Amino acid sequence: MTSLLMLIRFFPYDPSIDVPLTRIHLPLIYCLTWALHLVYVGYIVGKWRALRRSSSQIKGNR
Amino acid sequence: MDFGWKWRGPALMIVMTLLGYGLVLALQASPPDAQQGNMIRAFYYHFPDWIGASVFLPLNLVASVTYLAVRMKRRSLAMKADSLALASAEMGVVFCGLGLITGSLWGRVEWGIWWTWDARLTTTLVLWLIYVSYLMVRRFTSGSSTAVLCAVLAIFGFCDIPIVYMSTRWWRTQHPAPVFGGGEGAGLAASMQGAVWWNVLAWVAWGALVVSFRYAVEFRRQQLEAAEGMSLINDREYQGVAHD
Repeated sequence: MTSLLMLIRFFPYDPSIDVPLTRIHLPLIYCLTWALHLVYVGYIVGKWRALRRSSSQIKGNR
Repeated sequence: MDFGWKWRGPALMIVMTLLGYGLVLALQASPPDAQQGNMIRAFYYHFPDWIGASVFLPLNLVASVTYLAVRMKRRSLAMKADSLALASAEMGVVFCGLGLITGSLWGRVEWGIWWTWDARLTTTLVLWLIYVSYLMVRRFTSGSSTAVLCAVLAIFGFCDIPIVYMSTRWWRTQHPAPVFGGGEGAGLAASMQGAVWWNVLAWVAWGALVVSFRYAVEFRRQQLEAAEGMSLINDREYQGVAHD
């Protein structure tokens, strides 16, 4: 919870110029961007590991 | 298996540094907007999404056309082109999807709505759906015609990109005109230039690195598949000879 608050503080918010939704939507935009990219990299790493396994199996069969 | 770790490791460090500094520029070093306040910072991540899509989806077209042109004559090059087509399409879908999501989150704050069926948003959604269908065809079909089918689909998919770009000129839309080439009043404030271009550079570099990794994995998979197919044929021929 503390780290979440720290994260939110990293995003600038000024109640005199910002609407309340900014507090949630701006961090969401940044976090979702990073999350989706990292999930995609995780998917590729999964593919790479599966490929390594099948590659070593083929070598073993030979 | 060598996946070019020697250069990908340092490249990853450089790209992460670019992204980290881009994040600082976007959130701390650039000023808030007079009208949008701090929500203008959404632009620093929303705009690179579209630049990313504008780089990797045309790359998918180039790879697909190359595949169609050389598939009968140069098998190895065709395999490389097909692998690059897949890698760039996936990256393009990620960027395009993120552009839609971040745009929707931004639109809810600025326009008061999550979504509207205006020409820009609708043609962009259609673009995303075309490339998602491209990836689904690749995932759920098998056989030698899959790559050809996908390459043709990629050509049709690309046709939507100019329509997306021109949509704000051809029709009245909720979405503002393009930042560049959008006519009078378009363009970036000087105080935003650094953060925008730094983040564009960082995210495109990230995309290129990820595409290179995905390409290497897919190319290796296709090589293994081809080698497996050849060894099966050789085994059958050998058994046939032995049987005779």
